[in-house]
Amino acid sequence: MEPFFRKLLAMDRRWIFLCLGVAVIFPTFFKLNLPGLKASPNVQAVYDLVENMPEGSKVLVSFDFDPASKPELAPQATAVLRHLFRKKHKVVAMGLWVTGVTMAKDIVSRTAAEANAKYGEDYVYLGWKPGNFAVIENMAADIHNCFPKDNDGKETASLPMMKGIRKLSEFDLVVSLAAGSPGIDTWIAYGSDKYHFKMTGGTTAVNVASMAQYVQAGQMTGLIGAMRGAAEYEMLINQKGDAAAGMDAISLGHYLIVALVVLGNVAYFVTRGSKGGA
Amino acid sequence: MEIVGAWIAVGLTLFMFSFLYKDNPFYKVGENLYVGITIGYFVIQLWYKTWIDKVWDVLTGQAHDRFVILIPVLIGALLLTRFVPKIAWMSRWAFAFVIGYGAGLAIPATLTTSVVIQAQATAKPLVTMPDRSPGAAKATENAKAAYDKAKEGAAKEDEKIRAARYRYEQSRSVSEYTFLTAYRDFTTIVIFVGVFCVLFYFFFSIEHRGPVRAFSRVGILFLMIYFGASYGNTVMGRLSLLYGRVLDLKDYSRQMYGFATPVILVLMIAVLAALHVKNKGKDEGHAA
Repeated sequence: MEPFFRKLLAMDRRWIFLCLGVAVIFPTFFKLNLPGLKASPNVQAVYDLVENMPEGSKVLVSFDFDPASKPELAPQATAVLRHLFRKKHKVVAMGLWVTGVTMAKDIVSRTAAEANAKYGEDYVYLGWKPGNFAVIENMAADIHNCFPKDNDGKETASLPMMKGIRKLSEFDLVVSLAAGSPGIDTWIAYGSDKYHFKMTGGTTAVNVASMAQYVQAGQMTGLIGAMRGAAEYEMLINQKGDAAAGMDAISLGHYLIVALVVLGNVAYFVTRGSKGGA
Repeated sequence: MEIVGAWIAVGLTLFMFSFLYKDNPFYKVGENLYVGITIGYFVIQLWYKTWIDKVWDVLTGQAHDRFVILIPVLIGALLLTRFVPKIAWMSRWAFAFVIGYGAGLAIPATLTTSVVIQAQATAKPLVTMPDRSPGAAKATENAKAAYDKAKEGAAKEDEKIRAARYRYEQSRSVSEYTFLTAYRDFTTIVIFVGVFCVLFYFFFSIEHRGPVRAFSRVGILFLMIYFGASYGNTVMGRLSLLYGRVLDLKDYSRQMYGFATPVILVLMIAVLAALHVKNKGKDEGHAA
């Protein structure tokens, strides 16, 4: 066994890349439908929040991510927007990340079209403004002053839906879908903690552990974590999408990594102390 | 136009992935394009969303106080004096404004959000007393009724029933001391112990001996669990990103996109193989 493990430890790491590639590509062609997906308490809390708001509630959705995080956060955004439009809430979308402006517009337009939502009456897309936390402070004072025009250059004040919304505190819910900073932490520090509005959101897998503290402390309600969280939300709204379809690939990738970690450790202990070993 | 977009997306994705094989000209092209396009995109957005919307339109508008906008414009313009060494000192006024404004906003907000409220949440009672108020009892009753209604006529437990049961259990854990309440208390204790011990680990002004050492060792355990969880999540995140690109590559391999993925992949492999052969010949020549 020892020569095998020694060979294994000296293996070109590109073979691992290849195996991982196969593990992720295979389920995109052949559905495995691996079991085990159920809503976690944090995702359920976000769903309940949207579900239990009265029809026509004003919701701000902030796209605080760029195309680099699209596979994780776009399914979250799609699922949450579908739910918001289905419940006939009024949606104002915007973003704090400049490189996400066009992508966010596509997601909002697509989900709005699915629900036959009318621009200006049921939803508005304000786009991006520079300044990170200064944008939030500005919106807290006057949204029309912060965004004099929407993303397409229409006067914000001329949009019927925006006539009833002037300040951040007038929103019933703010949802930040964030890949980092500015994002959830910025909205909490400069927004909800100061101006006292309800806050929820979703984030990438890398940030879940650091954002969970805000849920624990009650500074936000629920948290959608990564593609898995998006898949759980898709399941709750009974409309499966990209995230649910991707769970097989993610699971297979995880199995492979766990197997490699175990194999690597076994190889380390077997070859330890021997000549040419680890 | 859509086909052009697909070919660019596929090309750039495969260019970046080619780094997994080794550093090569395709990767260099992709890397430089990424930086250049991002900056170009940012400049255009900044021009329209800031200069046009917030300065030009205001100045050419009818508002009587429209010229006030010139004050921040002037402060911002002072930053550009960095490029003229003789008057570069003037940029400090602009920096002073930016830093003063930023610090003034950031310090109290960060202290409140990340220290005060977090400390309050950590100092919660370690054991929860059940809420015996009529409101809590009523909420539990309503949740139970909703759960019973969801179960009615259902052959097996679906997502709706599971959600109703979840809400009922949540509600019951407030009005009574249930397993869920005990679990919450347990997590509160774990958080308290974790914060306490990790703080000890970062306490450098005394030697870590005796009980201090014991606490700091437990602190290390908590830190290791956090790092492990973060690493696990990072792996999941990276796999999701890979899946996202694979999905797009699969989508763009269809005929309607001119078989972008297989065509570019084959071309790239051919070029990389040719480069490999050429470089091998060169290396052998040098060795000889």
